[in-house]
Amino acid sequence: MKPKSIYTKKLAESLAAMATERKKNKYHIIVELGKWCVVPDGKIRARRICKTEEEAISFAQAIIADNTGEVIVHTNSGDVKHRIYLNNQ
Amino acid sequence: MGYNNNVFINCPFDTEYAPLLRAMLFTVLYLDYKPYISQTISSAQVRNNQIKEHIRSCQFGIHDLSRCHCKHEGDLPRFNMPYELGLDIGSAEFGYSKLRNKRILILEKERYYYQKILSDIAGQDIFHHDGNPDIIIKNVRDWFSNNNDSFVTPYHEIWRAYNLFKEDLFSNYIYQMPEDSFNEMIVGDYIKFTRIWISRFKSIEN
Repeated sequence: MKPKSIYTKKLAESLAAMATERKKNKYHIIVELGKWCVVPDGKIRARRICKTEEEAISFAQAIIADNTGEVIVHTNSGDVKHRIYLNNQ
Repeated sequence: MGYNNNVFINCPFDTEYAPLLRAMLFTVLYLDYKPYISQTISSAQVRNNQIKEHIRSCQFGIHDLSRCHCKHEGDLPRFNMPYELGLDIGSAEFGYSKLRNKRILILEKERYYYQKILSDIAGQDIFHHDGNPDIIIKNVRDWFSNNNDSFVTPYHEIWRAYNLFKEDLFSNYIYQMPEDSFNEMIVGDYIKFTRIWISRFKSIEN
């Protein structure tokens, strides 16, 4: 069966809104040429480039203000491997 | 946008190849080129003529030949992609003068595989990707950079943006659609979503 188009203006607009949204206490761990980059949400510039995934996660957790936020660990194909939620309460 | 910004993409369109195709399309769109793929062609039109029209319309051609061999014993190999590559190279060699400046990138999964079975393509730009989206992005970006006198966005920017985009696209998608259909999203939809996301993302200072 031929797949149907799922494109709608509503889906496109909500995606476009996400492109400009920057969550302050959200960091991405991105695998890049064998190293792990800690990248703030919505940004390109890495806060730190680490030799291991563990080091990158620890750094991201340490810089999250008030210990409340989210760390997203990506796979080497760019997908989300897992999310770490920090909650001060 | 015209001939000098158009990119003909000749690659598999199955679910297994989708992660590589999506990475490739993201790179092409991020670098402000316009992809032309045969999957978007209406079924009412004659596919072969449309492929020729794409080849005539595009200065750049990206051909991934990594899926021409048989997956299972008893399967027949598929030669559509080498055929389209031949048309593209032939158009640059024998076509009208505008096509002489064509640039062609050939991708394969394993290094030197095609030089063993199709040795006449030696001398072309051939890169291998090992089935990894990040290597596809780097290869495609570097190839555009080598064929462009002006500044081309660095690999790390495209790759990081791609990671952010994937999270946004997936999160947005699963609010409204079944999660397991994500990899079956048609290419035309993916291109529209990617284009709008990149346009907004680039509009903010990074």
